Amino acid sequence: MSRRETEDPRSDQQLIAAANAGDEDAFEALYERYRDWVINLALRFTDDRHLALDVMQDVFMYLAGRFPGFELTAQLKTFLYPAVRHTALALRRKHHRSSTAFSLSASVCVFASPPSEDLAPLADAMRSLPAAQREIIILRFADDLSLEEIARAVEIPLGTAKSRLHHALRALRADERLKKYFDR
Amino acid sequence: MADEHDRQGDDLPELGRALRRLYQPSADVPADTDAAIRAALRLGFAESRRKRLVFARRLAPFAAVAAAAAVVLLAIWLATLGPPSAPPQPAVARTDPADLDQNGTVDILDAFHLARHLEAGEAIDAALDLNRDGAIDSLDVDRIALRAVSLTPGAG
Repeated sequence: MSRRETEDPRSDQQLIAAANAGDEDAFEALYERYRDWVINLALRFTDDRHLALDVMQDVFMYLAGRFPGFELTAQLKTFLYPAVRHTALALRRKHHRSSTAFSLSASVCVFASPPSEDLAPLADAMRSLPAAQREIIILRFADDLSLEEIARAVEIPLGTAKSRLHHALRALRADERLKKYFDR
Repeated sequence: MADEHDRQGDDLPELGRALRRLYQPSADVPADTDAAIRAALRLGFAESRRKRLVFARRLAPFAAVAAAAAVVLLAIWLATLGPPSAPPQPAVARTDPADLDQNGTVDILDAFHLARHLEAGEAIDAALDLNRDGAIDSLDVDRIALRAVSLTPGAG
């Protein structure tokens, strides 16, 4: 049960096939591969370390419940993203029920760690983006999903994903402080 | 404009590097918590496997009977149909209400979505009262889950 030192060399598809055949180690390798991404994503939505851990466990328990018979038709991140998002927002809503209402706009702006000085302008610009556009930018650049995968993960039409990315990039490009990121 | 919309930002490597730094994973899971989660996941994985295999074994005879019954009912229904009184209407694509994420397949993720909507107390399409008992509740979630694992497509 201790942490492994090396990552399993098998692809996600191979690990899923093995897990479908009953290989617990293959499932644990998937957990190891996506654990940090899932908890970081959960933190973006909850801004609460303990809640994020709860989300992470719930999401992987949900994934465990899909075996055997789980079929992956895209990146595993596109499957995990809506699960993390729904679970995190539901848990957060439950915890904030007695306080003021919150919306997605309050989420997805939490950084993994306080931004360093050189990233402060970018962090500031990201905060000022509408939440829906910010979400697409993070998925595209930080999580490295394609627009098609983003549309699937966020459960929106591809055209909407393209439009949000376009508008978000236009807003960032218009910020003089961020000129260096757009110079070629 | 179309070309611009289709661009995915691949030509902005500096922006990508900066955003990855800004949002890179840094949340370390404490070792004891990690070990506890791994143990829970192993149990969950084994239990899910056991339940699904048992469920599939138990469902198999019923699925065969249900399929046979469906064929008989379809044959009876077709036999009772008279000649068409009007030209056939063009088929209209109809979305299965249980396919919540509209990916063309009713799967366990749809059950998960409905459960989350219920838990969140959000407004839910009346068409999701799948068992037609006048309420949209966990029984409808179970119905979608049953369809997801059913050996007979569309059953449940």
